[in-house]
Amino acid sequence: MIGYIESVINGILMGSIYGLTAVGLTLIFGVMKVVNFAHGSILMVGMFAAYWFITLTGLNPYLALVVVVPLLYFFGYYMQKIVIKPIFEAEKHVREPITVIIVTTGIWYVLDNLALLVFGAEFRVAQTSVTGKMIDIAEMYFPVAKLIGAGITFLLGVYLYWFLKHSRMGKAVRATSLDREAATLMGIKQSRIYNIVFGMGCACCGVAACVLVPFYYVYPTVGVPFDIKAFVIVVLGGLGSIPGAILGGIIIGIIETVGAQFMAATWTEMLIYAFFLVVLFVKPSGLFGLRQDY
Amino acid sequence: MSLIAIENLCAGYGEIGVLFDVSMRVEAGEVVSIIGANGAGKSSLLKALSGLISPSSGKITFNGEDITKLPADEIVGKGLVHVPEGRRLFSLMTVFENLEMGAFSKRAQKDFKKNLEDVHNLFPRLKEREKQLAGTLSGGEQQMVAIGRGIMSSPKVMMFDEPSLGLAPVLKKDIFAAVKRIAVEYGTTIVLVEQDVMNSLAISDRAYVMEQGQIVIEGTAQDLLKDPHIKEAYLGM
Repeated sequence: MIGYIESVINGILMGSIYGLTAVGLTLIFGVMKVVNFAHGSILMVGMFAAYWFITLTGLNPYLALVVVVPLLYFFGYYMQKIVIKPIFEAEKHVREPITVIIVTTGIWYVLDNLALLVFGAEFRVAQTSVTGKMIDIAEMYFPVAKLIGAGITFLLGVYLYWFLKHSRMGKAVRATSLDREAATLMGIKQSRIYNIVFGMGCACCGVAACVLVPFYYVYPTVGVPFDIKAFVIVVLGGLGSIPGAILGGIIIGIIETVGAQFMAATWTEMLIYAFFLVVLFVKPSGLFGLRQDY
Repeated sequence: MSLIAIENLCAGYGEIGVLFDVSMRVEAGEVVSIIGANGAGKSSLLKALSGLISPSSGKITFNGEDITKLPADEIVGKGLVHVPEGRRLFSLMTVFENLEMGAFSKRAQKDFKKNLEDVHNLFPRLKEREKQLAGTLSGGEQQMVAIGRGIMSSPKVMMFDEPSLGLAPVLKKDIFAAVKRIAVEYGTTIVLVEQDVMNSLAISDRAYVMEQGQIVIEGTAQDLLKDPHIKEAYLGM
């Protein structure tokens, strides 16, 4: 019994980090209606940045947050401003800006292959003060790095909630996501909101990268498994829904760890997709999704 | 000098032209109606004024300043406020948050308290409904929020696009009365696009009639009410 409780809690811990990457994706989609296929690659960039920061400075691994999160914020901010915005402008009268998806896919390939070229294909593990450390709580063992990671995720979730609910800029972000033309009529500069939102979506990846590095391999295509999970989570939770993304992440995490108690870990992927299909069948708009037409 | 002066304006969506050689002016303190049938280009004219569509030729000056090429989000900040057709509220945000969004521009932020008082004064119902999601309001209340949101932008000129569309006759009267009050009590200049010709001419000083993207008749509201063409085409008399 205690083994199951342990694996459920471990699932929640890992799932909250999946949720974190999904939050970034859902934020960008919710506001810009753009599917960012480069999301996993941006996570990979963040993980390499965190890895090198930790390896070269030897400081506490969580200090990497101070460097990596702003780095990825500006990375996303300028990626939207320089690469994505011109495409939006060219397709101003098109209802569904499909070309943007092709561009983000291009960014994914460029980033992954650049990483392969620069860092090589090997798997790296950052040696940090928390790597491999376990903590004993009520006769259950949990990796310290995952506990800290889930804690940081929780704090970020609270911050994002506050930002969107109460800050002036957050409200402008919500207004833009609900009706971009009407928001423009309020004096809200759409391209600026898009820059900020893309930056924030990437910054979420930055946080996820920093909490992952102490216990996860870093390699050029590390983004892909996270990317795929993030897509499943975003659709599962409901497109554009932040609570949906976090809850979806936790559900996926639990299925993965509890499933591993009964079968080989590689088979748990199948469980995830089976569950995903069932949810889509029963509630196509996702757990928290609204019945609306994007 | 006119507050708004439009000279030989042509505009449209992509390749498709909608407005052809439109010239008009609006003086400070006036209530000006633009009337015409569906598809005459009335809404497009307002969109060109507020910067939502960019003119292909011609010139728009506001308060002596050329705003032809200015983006929409900067035009609001000058005090030229567009209350769009179909209300376009932020449906999943509360009434209060909608009003807050109206006051997003720097100029409007300074007058936030005064403007909010004006809105509550004009539509006491909005104060009661402050915390309700805008999407759950009735049509008339939604129109009140849309107008209130416009007032929050500290307008010098308010442009209304079909504010009475889809409302019951009794609510229509309230909305026209509110527009009139905004003009009289706050001294705001009004540009009113309407299909309800009778009611809109009743509160207007002057009016323009648009047909197929051009202005075909202009004159004082009184004269237009007597015009035989208007009577036949728009008033059904």
